[in-house]
Amino acid sequence: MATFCSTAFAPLGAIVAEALGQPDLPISALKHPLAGLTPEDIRERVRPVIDDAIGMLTLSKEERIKRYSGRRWVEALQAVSIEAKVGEEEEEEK
Amino acid sequence: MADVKLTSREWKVVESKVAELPVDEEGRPILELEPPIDDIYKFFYTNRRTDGLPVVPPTKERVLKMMKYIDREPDEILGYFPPRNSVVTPEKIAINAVMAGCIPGHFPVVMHAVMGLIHKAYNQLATTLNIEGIITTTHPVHPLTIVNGPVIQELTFNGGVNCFGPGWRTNATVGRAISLCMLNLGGGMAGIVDHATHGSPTKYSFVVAENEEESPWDPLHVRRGYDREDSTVTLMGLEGPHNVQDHRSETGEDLLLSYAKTVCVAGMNPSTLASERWGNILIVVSPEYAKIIHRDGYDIDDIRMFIWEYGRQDQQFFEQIGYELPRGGLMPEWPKWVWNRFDGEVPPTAKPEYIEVIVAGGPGRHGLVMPSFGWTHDLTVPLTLADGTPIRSVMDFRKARKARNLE
Repeated sequence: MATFCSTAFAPLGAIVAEALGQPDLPISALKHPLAGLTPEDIRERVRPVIDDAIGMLTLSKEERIKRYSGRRWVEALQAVSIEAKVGEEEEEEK
Repeated sequence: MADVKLTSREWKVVESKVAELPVDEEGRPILELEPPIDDIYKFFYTNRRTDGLPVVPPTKERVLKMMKYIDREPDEILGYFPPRNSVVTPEKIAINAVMAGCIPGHFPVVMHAVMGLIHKAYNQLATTLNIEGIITTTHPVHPLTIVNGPVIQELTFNGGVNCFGPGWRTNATVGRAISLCMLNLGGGMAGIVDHATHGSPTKYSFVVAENEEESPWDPLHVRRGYDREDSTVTLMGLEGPHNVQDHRSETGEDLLLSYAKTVCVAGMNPSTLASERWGNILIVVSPEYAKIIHRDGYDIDDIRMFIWEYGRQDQQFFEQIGYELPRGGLMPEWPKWVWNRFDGEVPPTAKPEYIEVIVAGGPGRHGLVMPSFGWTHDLTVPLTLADGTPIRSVMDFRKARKARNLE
């Protein structure tokens, strides 16, 4: 089982998959946005994920999870700091 | 909570050793020392448990005080909060109510609002819509909680001057508690689960009371079959308020025409996404407007029909921007009801009764319109004891709690 969506919504897909009992659902994402594209644009967007599709169908379960688990989209966003870069009280003036 | 305060430096040591803290019977860490308030704020913020504003630390004592205003066990399963499908219990809601700054008396209102959000009746229209859709959509929607009944006076909810604005603890913190539940139980982290293109300031807090005292009509909950002495919360998935300014009209008809022409604009979801089953709009009538509209003979159904009839848009415009004849699917096909029933005009909602009306606000000639998300419907939840008995006062929860030996 595998899922394709646009990059902007891949983390949401992973969260929902986990809520539905599929925490390691493979997710491959096409570059967002898809709205308003020409058929040729769509073909260009799809090409990079063809390899993902082949990998999802042919790799071992362990390798498939490691490479394509939707978790990676959530983890990537959660790793981004949401703190101010400067201005903490203890920071010394440079 | 032990009466011990740590310095920031000392607290960082504790923070880095969460895994070494003592745990309760379910394995959750117990923190018995109070770190500096700014470090608590930072801890919750960096773990994505806040809306970005400081929170009140949800200590065990504070959470227990909340629980004294509900006649339920703290771990009773009330439902599941999509899209993350977290188990929802009174205790979990109480933790968020503490964080939001609620007083314990606010808690029953918060809990019943959350019960409404996760109630199947609110989510039965489609499996991925409503609260799940509201949290995850690109549209700037948030559930408005409209409070009716005696709890308005008892807890000092504001339905008067600046009622959608700041300055009132009850509106601000009850709304924030509901929002924090959507974040911490529903999983609505910004950019990860909540994909609103712009979001909305309403996502911080979105609660209002109806101005029942200055309304010439029956209040919302009475029109929905409840007693005037009942207290209710009505949940609607709405955009933020859009103003209707009319200082000139002298008749109810002209005032309603101003409302209708404000509803009648491109880009509102109820027109483009609505169907026979959902897609509502809220009309907020100020007391001064209400007096004139009522004087001229309009009841609530008359207001709905007037706005539905005069708040229409030219169908050609929608065809110009790409809406096509229905092919049985979803967007961009227009809902079939539009094409089947109307000749060249698109009404603001599928049915007149999907336009809801409340009276709110203070002095001044301004009204508000709030279109919904479209794929959503509203729900009214009565505040009741666990056995379903309607309450007349939040103190009824205290009495019932003692009667059930829950103290």
